Amino acid sequence: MRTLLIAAGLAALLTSPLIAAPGDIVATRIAGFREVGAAFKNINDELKSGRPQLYVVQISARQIRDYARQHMGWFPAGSGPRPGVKTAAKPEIWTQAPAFKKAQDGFTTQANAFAGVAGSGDVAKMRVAAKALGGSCATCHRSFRVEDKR
Amino acid sequence: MARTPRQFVWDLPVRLFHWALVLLIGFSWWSAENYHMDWHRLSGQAVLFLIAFRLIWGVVGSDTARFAHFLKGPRAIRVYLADRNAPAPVGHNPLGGWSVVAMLAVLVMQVVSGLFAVDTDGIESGPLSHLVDFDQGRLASAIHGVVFAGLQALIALHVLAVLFYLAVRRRNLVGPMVTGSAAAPAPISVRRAGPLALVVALLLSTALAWWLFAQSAL
Repeated sequence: MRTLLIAAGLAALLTSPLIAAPGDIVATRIAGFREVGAAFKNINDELKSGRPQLYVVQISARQIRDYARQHMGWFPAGSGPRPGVKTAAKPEIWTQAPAFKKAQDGFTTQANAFAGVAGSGDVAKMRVAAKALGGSCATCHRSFRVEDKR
Repeated sequence: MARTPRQFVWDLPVRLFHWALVLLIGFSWWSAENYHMDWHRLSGQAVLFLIAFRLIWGVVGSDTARFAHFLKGPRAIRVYLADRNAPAPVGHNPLGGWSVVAMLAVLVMQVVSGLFAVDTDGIESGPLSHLVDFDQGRLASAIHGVVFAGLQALIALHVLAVLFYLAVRRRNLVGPMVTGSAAAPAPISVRRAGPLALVVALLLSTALAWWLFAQSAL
């Protein structure tokens, strides 16, 4: 009996992330993009300084690249705006799925490219690549994100 | 026909400050809404220069520009509000003086929050944002937005008050802010600031605005 209870408890623990997943994906992507923003701030802070700390740029670049690999799974159908859910995701993400996919691919491409340039150690090239990476954020956000203009 | 005597009201620096601020607030708003954040930062730097200049000018400027001249206590405000036929003071009235303080305070909050603000992507940011982390920068950005709403409210109140004086009290307040003087039967003398005060105020405010925005100054 005791073993059964423990087994049932373990099963519940193990499956609970799966059960909770659909509701939590909004929180997951908000937290994920927050990390991307924080990492990109670190990059831009270094690149605007006279003596950039290259390891900060490189670690942050890898972080962004890792999130870019995950973010394809952050927008499952049904995770859009609905009553009781606070999200800046526009319905167009799902109604214009091909265009959204293209914007997502743009981010992935630029994140990979920037991680490569960051590894090279060439600060001038990093500044150019950082602009392109930032551009891929902005392109997607202007079409698919409810803007808080500040 | 003899010319009507003119009462000196606002010196040229005060007038230039006022109209430059009008243009820059409009430009700052437009540039932020349209993603011209390089221009928005430059505009913010210019506003910072203007605010710093006005604060210094409030100490060393002409009489009507000085805080000590136009900031009055509650009694003076009560008297001014109670008697609508009271002689209009030269420069800010006892209540209007405090609206200047409110406007400057909100502008200082707006400029300071902008210095540290970070956008949601960590791309665009104020010149001192490297001194704070991402979340603090986002907070500064939120404050920047809330304070701007307050600034808009104060500007609306200011324009309404000017219209009230024009329509109800039959006093044109815009004219003196353009020409510097108003028609008056018996002008009184107002002590005007000299060139040395102007040079000092310009140098100090320029230095501050340059230093805070200089690359890696801090």
